[in-house]
Amino acid sequence: MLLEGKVALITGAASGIGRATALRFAREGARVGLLDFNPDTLGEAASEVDAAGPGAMPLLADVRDPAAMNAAVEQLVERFGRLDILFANAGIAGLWAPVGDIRPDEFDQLFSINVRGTFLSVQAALPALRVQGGSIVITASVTGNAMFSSVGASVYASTKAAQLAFGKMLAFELAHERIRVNIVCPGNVSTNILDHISYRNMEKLRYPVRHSGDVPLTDGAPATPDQIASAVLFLVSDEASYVTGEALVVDGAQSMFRG
Amino acid sequence: MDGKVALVTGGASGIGRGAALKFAQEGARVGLLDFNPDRLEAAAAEVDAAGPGAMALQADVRDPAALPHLRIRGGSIVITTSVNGSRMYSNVGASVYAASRAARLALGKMLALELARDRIRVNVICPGSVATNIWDNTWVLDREGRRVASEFPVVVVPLSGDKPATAEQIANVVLFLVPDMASHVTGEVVVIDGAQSLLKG
Repeated sequence: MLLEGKVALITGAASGIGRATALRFAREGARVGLLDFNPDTLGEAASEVDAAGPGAMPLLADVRDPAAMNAAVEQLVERFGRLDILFANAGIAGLWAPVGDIRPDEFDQLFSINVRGTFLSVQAALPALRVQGGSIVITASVTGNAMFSSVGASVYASTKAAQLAFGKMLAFELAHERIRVNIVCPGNVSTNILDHISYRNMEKLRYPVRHSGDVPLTDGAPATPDQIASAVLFLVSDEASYVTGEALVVDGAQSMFRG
Repeated sequence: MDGKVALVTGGASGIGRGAALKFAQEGARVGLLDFNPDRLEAAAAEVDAAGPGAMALQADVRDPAALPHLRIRGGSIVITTSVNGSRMYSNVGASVYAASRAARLALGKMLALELARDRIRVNVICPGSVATNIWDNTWVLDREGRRVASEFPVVVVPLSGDKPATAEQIANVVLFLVPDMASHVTGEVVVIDGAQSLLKG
C-alpha cells in the first residue's frame, strides 16, 4: 500500500475527482478527511471511503471561510493525529459567457472558490504539514494552462492558471520544509462539474469549428474520475518523492489536438 | 497610430506612463487612467504636450471597465503581466502576486480567441525587472525567513549586465503590438526580460 499511516485532507471530496481520490487514498492505507460544503453527498461519500480503508471523516466547510478551514484541519488532526497530504481540489466551473456579459460578482465568485479556496486550504493545512513534511496537490485544468479554446470560459481559465502558478511558487517556497507541491491538469472528466456551469448568451460566441472526438486517446470519451485520482495518488505518494513543482497534464492528448 | 484613441490603465507611472507617451508621440489620443490623482495630472500633462490630446481619468480598476467601447470597430488590447507566474517561480513570498499574473495571462489568451471575430486582438507582455515604482507599493513580510539558501549568479539580467529594463523599453513592445504593425498577431505572449528568466527560473 502506497499511503500506509498517512493522513490526507481532500477538498471538494463529496463528488467527482475528489471523491474518487479519497477512495483510492483509503484503499492505499490512508485515513482521509473529506471536506465539502454539500452535507447530503458528503455523508455518503465519507461512509463509502470509511468502509474502504482505515478511517474517514466528513468535514463540512466552505473553502472560502478561513475560520471554518482552520477548524476543519484542527478536527482532522485531533482525530487522526497528523496531516501528511493536502489535495486542494474544490472548484467550480461557474458562469460561461461572453466577457462583456459577466458581472463583477460572478467573476469574484469563481476566484473566491477556486483561487482563494486553494490559498486558504494551503494556509490551514501548512502548520500540520510542516511537522513532518508532506505533499500538496492542486487541481488546475488544461483550460487556462494548455488549452484556450473553451470560448466563454475566460474567467474559469484565469482561475486555473492562477492555481497553477500558485502551486509552482509554493513548490519552491516550501521545498526546504520537505513539502512537495504539484499540480494536476485534467482535460475532460466525467464529473458533475459541467452540470453546474451556467451559460449566458453563448450563441454570440460559437465558432464554426467542431472538435468531435477531440480526445485522441479515447475517441472523445472523457476520463473517469478514477483516472485522475491515479495521477494524484502517484504525486502524493513516495513514488514521486523527487517530483515537485510539476504540472501533470492528464487529458488523453486533448490539448495536443485542440489549442 | 494616427487617428487612434487609446486607454492606458496604470497610466500615471512606470510602464503605463511610458506607453502613453509613446502612443501620443505616434499620433494617438490617450486616456490615462489611474487611482493616484497627483501623479495622474502630471502624466496627462506630459502626454498631452507630446501628441494630439490626452485626458486624465481618475478611477479604480476594480470598478467595471471600458471594454464594450472597443467593440464598435475592432481594436487591440495589451495586458501587462510578468515573468513571475509564467516563466519564473523563484521569488519566494510572491505566490499570490504570481498567481494573479498567471490569471491575467490566461485571460488574455482566452479573450484573444473569444474576441477575434470582433476584430479585437489581445496580446500579453511579460516584463522582467523594470525600473518602476512598483516596489514602493510592495510589502515584504518575513521574507528572509522564507528565502531558500541558493546562490544565483550575480548578473541577473544577462542582456544588460544587471540593469533593469526602462519603462520605455517595455513601451516599445506595447507600441509594436497595438497598431497595425502587429495586425495578425493575437493571443501572443511576449517576454521582455533580457533573458533574465532563462537564467533564474
